[in-house]
Amino acid sequence: MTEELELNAKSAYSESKKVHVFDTEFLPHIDSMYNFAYRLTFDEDDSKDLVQDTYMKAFRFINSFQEGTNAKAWLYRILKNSFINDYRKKSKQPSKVDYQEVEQYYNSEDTAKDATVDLRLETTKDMIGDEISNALNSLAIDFRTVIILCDLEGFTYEEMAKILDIPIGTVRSRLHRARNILREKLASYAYSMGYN
Amino acid sequence: MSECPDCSCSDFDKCLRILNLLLDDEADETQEEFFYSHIDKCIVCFSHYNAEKQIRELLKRKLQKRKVPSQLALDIRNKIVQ
Repeated sequence: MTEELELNAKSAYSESKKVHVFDTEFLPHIDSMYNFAYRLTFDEDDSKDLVQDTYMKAFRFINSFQEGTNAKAWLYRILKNSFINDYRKKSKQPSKVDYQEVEQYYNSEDTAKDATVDLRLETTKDMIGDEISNALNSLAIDFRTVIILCDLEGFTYEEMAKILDIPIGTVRSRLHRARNILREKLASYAYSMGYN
Repeated sequence: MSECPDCSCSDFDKCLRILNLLLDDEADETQEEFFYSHIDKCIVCFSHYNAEKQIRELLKRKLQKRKVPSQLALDIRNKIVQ
């Protein structure tokens, strides 16, 4: 009954109200959405298409959105799913690796050994954006995504779990693994720059 | 449970877990208190804390934001009001 009431309440937007909600709650996030899309596709045209598709879907389902709730997280979720379902199929990216297995392994094993890759503070301070960007971009998509959501966009673990449709424990372990790989990549850049 | 490679942490995994929670603003008060008092006594965890913090700052500071194509918002808006 409550759900039914909520659904009724959610579908009450008039046409002009829909556009108002779209303008005030959805469009202000277009910068972040475009940057997220670019970090997934590495292509300007694909990013534009992905953002456009995301907004069109959001508008089509606007009645399921309640004003004042987390529009940004919802848009990220739509964009990420559109990317997985539509764009990755036609892109030339290598096929998806099932990281569940990897994550289960990392959930059950000691994590200490991975954290011992030595990345000294003095080696990172001279790194330029390109090196950081290359390291991030070379991560597998699932790992890259959690770093973007957490470190660049500041989503909470709970929001990330909702965006990615995975349990919070998996968010934590995926982030942990992603950061270890990123640290290893930055350390190898640092090594190639002559540190160590 | 594992020992810290270089110091006397009784549970290094726990320290790492809390360190990440702390830097992601997900730690509770007890975890925060534990960790900040711990790194006063443990140079290894203190170094890890600084390195992890640095990586997060690097990502935020050095990754350039791309400028959204100026027409994009307008194109999208035109499509939805069609």
